[in-house]
Amino acid sequence: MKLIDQYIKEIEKDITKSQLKIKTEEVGVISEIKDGVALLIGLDNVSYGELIEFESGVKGYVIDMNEDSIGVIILGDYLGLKSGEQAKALGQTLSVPVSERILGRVIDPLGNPQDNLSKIKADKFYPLEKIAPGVVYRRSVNTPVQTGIKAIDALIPIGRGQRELIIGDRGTGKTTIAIDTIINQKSENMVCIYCGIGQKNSKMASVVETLRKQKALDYTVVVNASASDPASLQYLAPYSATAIAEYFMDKGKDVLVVYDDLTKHAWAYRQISLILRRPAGREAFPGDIFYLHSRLLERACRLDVKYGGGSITALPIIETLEGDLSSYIPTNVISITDGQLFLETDLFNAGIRPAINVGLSVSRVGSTAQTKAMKKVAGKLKLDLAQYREMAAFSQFESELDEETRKFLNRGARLTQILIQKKNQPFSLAHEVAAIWAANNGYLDGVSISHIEEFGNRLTSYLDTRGKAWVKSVNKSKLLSEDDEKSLEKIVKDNVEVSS
Amino acid sequence: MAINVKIKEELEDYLQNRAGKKRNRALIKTAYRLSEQEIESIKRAIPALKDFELDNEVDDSLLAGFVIKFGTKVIDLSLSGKLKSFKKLMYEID
Repeated sequence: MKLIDQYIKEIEKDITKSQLKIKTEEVGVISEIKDGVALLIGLDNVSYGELIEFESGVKGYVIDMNEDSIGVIILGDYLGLKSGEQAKALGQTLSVPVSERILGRVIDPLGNPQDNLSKIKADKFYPLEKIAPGVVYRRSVNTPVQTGIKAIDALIPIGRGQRELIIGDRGTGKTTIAIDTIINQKSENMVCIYCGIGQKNSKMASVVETLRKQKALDYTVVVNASASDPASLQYLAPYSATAIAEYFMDKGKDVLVVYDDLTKHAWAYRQISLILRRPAGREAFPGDIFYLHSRLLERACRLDVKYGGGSITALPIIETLEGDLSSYIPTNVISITDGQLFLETDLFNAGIRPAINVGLSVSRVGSTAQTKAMKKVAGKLKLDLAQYREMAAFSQFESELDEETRKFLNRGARLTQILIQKKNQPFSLAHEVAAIWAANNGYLDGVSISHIEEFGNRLTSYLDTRGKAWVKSVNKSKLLSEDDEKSLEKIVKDNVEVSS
Repeated sequence: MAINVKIKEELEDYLQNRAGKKRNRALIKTAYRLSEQEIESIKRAIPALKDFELDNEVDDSLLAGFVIKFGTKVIDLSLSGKLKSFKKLMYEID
């Protein structure tokens, strides 16, 4: 009895001491529910972008404000909601919980774990919608993102803080390029975020498995809004990924974000806009479809040292139909990004993988984001390949051509072959430089086309065993000194002799 | 034919609202009927309700405390409301 009396005394003390906080909440009532969108009456004083919570616990996001009603997209399962259900405003804008513990996890756009592990405890909450850093906060891009793909690092280099679009038809290897880039960031001190928008669950599972097998998941976050998730989550997924990236960028880190893909993102936003009865424009997209992507991609930048010096590199992916680059969404995103990697089905089918059309692909940052070692070998490679493309049409008249032309065609074919590489096997800087240097200086001119892959493999394995010191020194210094070139000459000569 | 009283009230409210005059009726829901003094002391404690007329409604499901609705705003100081948020808190902790 005494114990209970003590408890009651404690409770009495607590109640009389504590001040009752009077909190006013806005409430509303659902009047209409459409696919994933609810119209509410009431909620007179909510702000745009505020979070709403329904009675059943499902959350919503205010996206439309009319004179008498509010349009809310439902962040979750809308099938359990009823007309007449109460909703209250939470007084905060939509944010995603972030902390260092988010690395290695698979989450949905609201921060809920999808990999059956523990909930993520948040250090901070980063808002999904944020205005991109202004001009004063930025610094120019001059450090490279080593993708590990020879064709990209040599001819279309990507810098930290750049936005490079990966565009092509279905099945041309867009996701593979993104995944290979993520795998190659193992020793580059970069945080990677892979954002899947409207992808098949099987594809997301295989992506996560690939990253796990290659030990890339330790520094990667996977944000997943699959095709079976409501359009509202697909619409918010890239913004959620960018918010997480900004958390790491504010800590001074370099971040790589892959948006796979923005075409499905545009479709999800079109679905939401049409349900909200917003006026439909070209291809039934709403009027602000450009702003949808521009405000997302502008948040990728490189910050000045004063503000931490971090950066976000964005690799958005767009799927075209029948190679049509001049359709609505592709032209929009091409004009926003700092360059594109154009993948072609014809090249893919001809065995050139990655199927990058070097002529049409562009990096507006270019060689400012290349290491000195790569710059040495890339200039000649670019010229030779350009000349090869000019004369490619004449390759069928091989026997009737003069010596010079035949030499160009020969060299060009071998350069194209040396740029081919297998998927999920990214190259380090030294390996890339070695392979391109060998082709540039004519050591492969005598090797038959079908044996070039063999040469490439042999060179790689030689460098990994007996050439370890050379690889280490080039990877560290990022230069190709005279001595380095001499040692490389010896290595290449040895390997070429074996193959012929 | 006479107009239904409820409809008359709603129409009056609606017209007043459209005319720009703020509605100053608030609804206070309690688990038992309140006396005049209790309503006055609540009005004093919450400054936002100064110019409001309070209508008292009895609702057993609140268990204790009260809920005040004015316009689209709600002040929930009921026991059932606190229990609900406690339940949600419990579910969020693993």
